[in-house]
Amino acid sequence: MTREAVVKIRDLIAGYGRHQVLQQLDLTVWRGEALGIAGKNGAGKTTLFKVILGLIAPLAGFVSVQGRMLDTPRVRRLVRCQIGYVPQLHTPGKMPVSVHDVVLMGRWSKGFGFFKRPTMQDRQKVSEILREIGMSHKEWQEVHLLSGGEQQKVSIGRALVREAPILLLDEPSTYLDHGSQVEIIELIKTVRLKHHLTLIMISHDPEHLEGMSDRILLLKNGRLEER
Amino acid sequence: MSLFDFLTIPLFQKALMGAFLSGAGLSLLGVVILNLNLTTIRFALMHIALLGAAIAMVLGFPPLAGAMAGIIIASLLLGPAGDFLNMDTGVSGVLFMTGSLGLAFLIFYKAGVPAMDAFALFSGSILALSTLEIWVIGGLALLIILIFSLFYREIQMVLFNQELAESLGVPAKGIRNALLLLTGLAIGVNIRMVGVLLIDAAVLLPALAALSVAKSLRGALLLSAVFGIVSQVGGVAFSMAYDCPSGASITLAAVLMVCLAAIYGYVVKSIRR
Repeated sequence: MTREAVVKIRDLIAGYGRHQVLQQLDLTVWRGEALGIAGKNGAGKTTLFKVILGLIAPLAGFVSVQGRMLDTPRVRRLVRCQIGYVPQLHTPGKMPVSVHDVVLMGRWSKGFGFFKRPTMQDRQKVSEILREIGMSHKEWQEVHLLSGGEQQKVSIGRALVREAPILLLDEPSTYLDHGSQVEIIELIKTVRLKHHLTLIMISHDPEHLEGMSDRILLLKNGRLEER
Repeated sequence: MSLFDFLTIPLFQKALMGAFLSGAGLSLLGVVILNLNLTTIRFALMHIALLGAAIAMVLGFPPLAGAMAGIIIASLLLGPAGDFLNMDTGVSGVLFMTGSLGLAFLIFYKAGVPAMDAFALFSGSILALSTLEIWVIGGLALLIILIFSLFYREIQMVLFNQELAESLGVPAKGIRNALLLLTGLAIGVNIRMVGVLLIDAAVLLPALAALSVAKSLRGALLLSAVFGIVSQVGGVAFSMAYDCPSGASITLAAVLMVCLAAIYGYVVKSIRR
């Protein structure tokens, strides 16, 4: 059986202004695999995610996602619809927003968008995903009142509701207590199989990636190395 | 004179109309200021108003026109400047605030501009509003309500998490910059109504009260408008009935609103427990 590359990066140089964070980086992620990338703080993990998400343009090299080269802002915008992103757990501000609304955000540009309000179908999809991740009972609760583990589940739900084939997870289980970590790892494994997802996960600690990843690479000096 | 007698006088009618429109529309931006952590921005804009007034006086224009021009230019620059300097918008506001204040004092000293005339901006008067100014406040209030209605979901995403909004494809920086511009315009308009020192009462306090009781952004925006109207119209009416300064009355009405909302929030939490 031939393997299909979902993300392909060659000789990537990326950074901010003159500061190059990633240098001559090569990476191939195969469809259906769960890849873990570990690296110290400041190694460039988040920069790599930003490149794949098309949020920053490479300074040199090429990046393709789902067979499309990310060489124009238009393609970078389009590719974002193919990716579900779970950012690092952050402390939500005081803005009152329900679990339903946070998950619904994932439908932006997929179901609704500018001058196009969320439809009944978008809302049904949200309820479906909330059932799947075991958060139906908290659908109308404010997010800032949830525990860290529950907030992470909501974040995963928002990525899933996008119906994207690729999921990027930034420190998915790092800042959680042991019980929540186990729950999140199990949830990630379950949704990966059910939705036939390709996962790319980053963490500062390789141990946090074990149990969820098929292989783990190390990001050092702007390049990826086998562990 | 009773309150009803005052209501027959055009001057007071205009003041109440201005208070109503400002409360209904401009107060919504307090929710933006509090959620984007822009509390330093309003100080920056106030000081930039002073710099604008100083420059206008040197060039022979009315200080208020200079203040408004300064605020509009600064609110357009604040977001991009923060991005360029890789700073949080709130932090870049500190740079604008101190820089503009230093420059204003330099102009006062070198050009021999009477500083007290520029500082007169710091005290506004809702009773001095002209018909044109009422139209400006009304137009701005309508624009703010329209933008919040049309782009509610996008604004909600930006206020929730700007980085996340960008990853979902929302032009988060553009929306943030548009909100900054509206905030600048709202502050500029309120300078005329309550003066620089009492702007928080008009823009921030209704939102503070709303956020302590609301359960959704939509609720926070609606309550912010309601609290804005009650505190501004109530404050002006109180100042007429009891012969008090209007700015101080509006401020005290808004402070009372925040206290009542906090007590209500505390009682509701206690009952739930």
